[in-house]
Amino acid sequence: MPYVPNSDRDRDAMLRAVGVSSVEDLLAEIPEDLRFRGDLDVPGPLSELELERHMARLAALNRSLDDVLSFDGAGIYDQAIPAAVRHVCGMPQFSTAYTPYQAEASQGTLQAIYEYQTLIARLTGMDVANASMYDGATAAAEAVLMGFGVTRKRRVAVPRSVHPAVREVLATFVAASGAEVVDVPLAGGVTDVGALEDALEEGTVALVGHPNFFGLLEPVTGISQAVERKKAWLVASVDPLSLALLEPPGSYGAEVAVGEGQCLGSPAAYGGPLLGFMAARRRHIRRMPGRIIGATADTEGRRGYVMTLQTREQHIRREKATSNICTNQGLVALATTVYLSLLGKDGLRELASHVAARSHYAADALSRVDGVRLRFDGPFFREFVVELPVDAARVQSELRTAGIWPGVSLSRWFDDMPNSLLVAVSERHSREEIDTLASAIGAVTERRGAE
Amino acid sequence: MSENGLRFTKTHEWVKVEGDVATLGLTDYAQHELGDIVFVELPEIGREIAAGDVLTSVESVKSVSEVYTPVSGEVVESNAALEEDPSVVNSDPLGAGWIARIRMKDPGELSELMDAQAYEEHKKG
Amino acid sequence: MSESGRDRETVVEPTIFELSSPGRRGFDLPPLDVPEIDPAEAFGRENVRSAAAELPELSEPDVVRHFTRLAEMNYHIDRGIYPLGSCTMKYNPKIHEELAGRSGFARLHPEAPVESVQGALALMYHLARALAEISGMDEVSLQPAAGAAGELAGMLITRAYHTDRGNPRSKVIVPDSAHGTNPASLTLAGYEPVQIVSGPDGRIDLEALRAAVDDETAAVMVTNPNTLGVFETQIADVIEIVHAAGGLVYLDGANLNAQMGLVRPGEIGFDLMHFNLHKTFSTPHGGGGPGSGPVGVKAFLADYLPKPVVVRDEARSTGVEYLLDHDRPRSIGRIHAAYGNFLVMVKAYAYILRLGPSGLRKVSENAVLNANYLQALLAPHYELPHKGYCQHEFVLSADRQKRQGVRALDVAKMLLDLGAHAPTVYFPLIVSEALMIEPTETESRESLDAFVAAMAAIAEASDSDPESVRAAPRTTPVGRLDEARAARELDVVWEKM
Repeated sequence: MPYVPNSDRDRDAMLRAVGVSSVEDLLAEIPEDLRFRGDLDVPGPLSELELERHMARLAALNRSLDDVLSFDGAGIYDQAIPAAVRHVCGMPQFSTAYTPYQAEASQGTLQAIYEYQTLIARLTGMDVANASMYDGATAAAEAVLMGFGVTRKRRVAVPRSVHPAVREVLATFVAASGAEVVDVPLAGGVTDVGALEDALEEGTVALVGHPNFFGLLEPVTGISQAVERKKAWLVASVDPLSLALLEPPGSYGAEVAVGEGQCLGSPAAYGGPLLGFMAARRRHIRRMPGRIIGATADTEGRRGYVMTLQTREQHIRREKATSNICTNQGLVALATTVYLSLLGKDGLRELASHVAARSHYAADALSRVDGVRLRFDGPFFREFVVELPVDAARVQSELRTAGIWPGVSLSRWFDDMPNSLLVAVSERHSREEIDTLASAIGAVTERRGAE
Repeated sequence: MSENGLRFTKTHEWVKVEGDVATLGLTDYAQHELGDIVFVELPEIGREIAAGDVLTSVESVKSVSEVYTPVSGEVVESNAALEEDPSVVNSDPLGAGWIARIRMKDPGELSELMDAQAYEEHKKG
Repeated sequence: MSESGRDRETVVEPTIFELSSPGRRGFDLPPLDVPEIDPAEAFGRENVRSAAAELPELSEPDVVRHFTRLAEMNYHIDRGIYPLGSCTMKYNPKIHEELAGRSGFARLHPEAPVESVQGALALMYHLARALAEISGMDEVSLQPAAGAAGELAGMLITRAYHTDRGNPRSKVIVPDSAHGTNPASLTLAGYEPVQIVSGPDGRIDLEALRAAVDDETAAVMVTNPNTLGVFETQIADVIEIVHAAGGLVYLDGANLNAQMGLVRPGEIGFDLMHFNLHKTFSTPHGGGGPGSGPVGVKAFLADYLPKPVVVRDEARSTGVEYLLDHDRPRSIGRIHAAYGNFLVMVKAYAYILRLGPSGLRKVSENAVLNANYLQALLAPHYELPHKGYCQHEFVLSADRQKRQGVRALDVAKMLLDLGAHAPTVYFPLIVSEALMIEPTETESRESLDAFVAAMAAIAEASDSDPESVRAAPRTTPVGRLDEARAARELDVVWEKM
């Protein structure tokens, strides 16, 4: 029997040691009418060989990013992952270790998290960071709840340019609290700063994405001024790669910075596991959810790391905890730590520059296709919206037959954008591949135009 | 500092009265039970409180304890030194480890408190 | 912290920031074959980062060495036993890592068209069905990314259910032996916890429950077997009392490892529950995740499950068999950016296939036997608050050792010196000097015997040389750490002095 070492012989000896004749005796306390006496209708058992075959068949039913040329983004980006990242994350000392409650036997995990916290704080221009949240959307929702705790108001203003998944998760999280969620309209695909300022009251939390869901840079200076004038509370949800080139949230008045860290060292993974990062101003540290690792020393004066400020967390504070989070995305945070260590200061900047260069080349190439235009004028980082002369869904299905995924159609979330595609470009896309995308779209629009 | 002249609550706070101002802190017993104190949340100056309210909380590494006020009134001062060094509550709970000062609304509430001897009894029981 | 203190510290392994050296890199890119952009021009000068992020500079060999040395400081399940109660630290099968790493699973974008990810959707669908079958629940959502997220989903479903009936209600009952996430989760869902004491046998006290239940009770959250490792034999009464008041009964499924093939919660009256794939279903703990906390419900609650829901259309009326259904008007909404931790699901699904129906039952049987074996052998050395047979875990008390000045914490630390990981300590809260032990079924008899020997040695040392126990651990990379200092002198990001 796989993974269970004890044989019948072992079990007999153990039963004797306990003083019973069978495991049934150990279960005797369970009332008979509560016992399940049937056979579970689940598949298996399979030998390892059969399992591999079965899983290979399932995997073959998926067309992975190995097989297609994809420009899908929307928060999840297929960047190259250095082999050393996978190597470190594959080390069983990291992957099979438990939560580091016994600090003396978990210094590897604890120090790695401390390094991760430092990297995230520096990248976002904030003072402190936690050990991770489930994903960028839940991180944003928890940051908003944190804001409610600080301001003692339950009001949040959210521009329509914030990622729809973030808006949806936020709605789920605040539903029970009776909080007021105020929609803020856009102007040219970004937050209408005047409308935002009108929507803000003292203590209102403002949640802004930068770049936003359309890939556009938001007018963060104006937003920050509005927040200050109205004594509101800013949460910035940011693309971590963009922070290599863009001013970080710490410099435009954010109280908390959150975002999706998947692109820094993890695969797209059909949407999970992801990585929610959260960083904040030092004064908010006691209200932060999630684990926080602190440096200290042992009795011999050796530097060591421990989980600190545990009184915020559920295992101590219970119903008064800052959150209910326990297990987070530990190994994914490790991947990001290794990734950022390999790239370093210059490497991250260079990667971001390459990505931006490619996305701008793509935007240019696509806007030269007859009938295709960039939907918005503003500056963007790694993705942008194109408007096609025909239904986006039809363009997608035609291109798919050629093995090209041209980008995410926005019609599912925006009724007024049936012809729009959100196109994301990464360092994996060569010039040739971008040209292929442009000509493939051109061929489709030409055919449609002729009909 | 002796415990004379101080009055005590069942929840292990001490109170010293000067005029209409009550100074409040945790007793030696309380600080010992809590262990190393790592953080004291200082109450807001100007805050109105009622007898029995939670005035603030005190954190050790593995627990959090509420500090209750036995008197109603307005918080007029809090011990800013505790922000820098919360361990003073451990080392000098009855002196430099005071937490807050309250201008009392109803000094009659003090009659509910125990004197030193009664508090000793209470600790044993 | 004081600078002079930092100066005198011995460093076991420097941080990446201290190992950094200007000009080093562990990464390169193919040459740029498109025009460069000028950030100021492309983004607007005011948006360009003026002060570069101070990330370290290291070569690949240095990075690998650093993390290898960190790894060496970690205890982990591949090395030895981790008898942590309610954590179910079982062996993590290696085949799972290979499977989850395949491009066909790992390199899928969540926005990919459903026809191109039928394998992924089929896997999710069939995993959900298997979990439903194992638990006796009717429908399962895999979206919650951890147990606490599953609990939150369960509490939000409870709220939605009651709201539809005219009153969301305001309270959720939780026994004092519950895991801290229970009260934290119900609070996030807008409920007030009502704590009830356990009876002398650690089980829910029916009188206390009756007194606490009223028409504002939305639910009771139960762990069964409870956190003392004892089966709630009166669970039928518990369920009846709460149902009679119109409340729901939620199962914290952390202890499902005791139940597979033996008891099905959905069959005995539980209305909803969560699972922990990183416990019962062998996926690796990762030092703190990623886990996965699916939520399962009976049919009458299915409309409230998080969306989208993976559905199967055998008739393929839209051309595909498996779909993501977003059209769920009564859903509590999304609780994850995508569909949950998919790669964790791949591993759990593989585990279920590998074991099959009788294998899963044997897992639970062996888990129960292993725990009872340890309990029997440790009983002479430690206090046992509950005297009967346990299920898959049990609680000891170090009260006997405390009389010599040795506490549960000291026992835990000395185990680290003896090559084992400590059990859970100081939980459940209702047992003094608690040591909660769950070996799981993947420990061999020899491993269990070695653990007993270690615990017996510690009990002996507590009598003959208590100071030696209090001084532990001495063979780990660091000794006991000053947690008070870590909380007082907050040092959570590395700063150059």
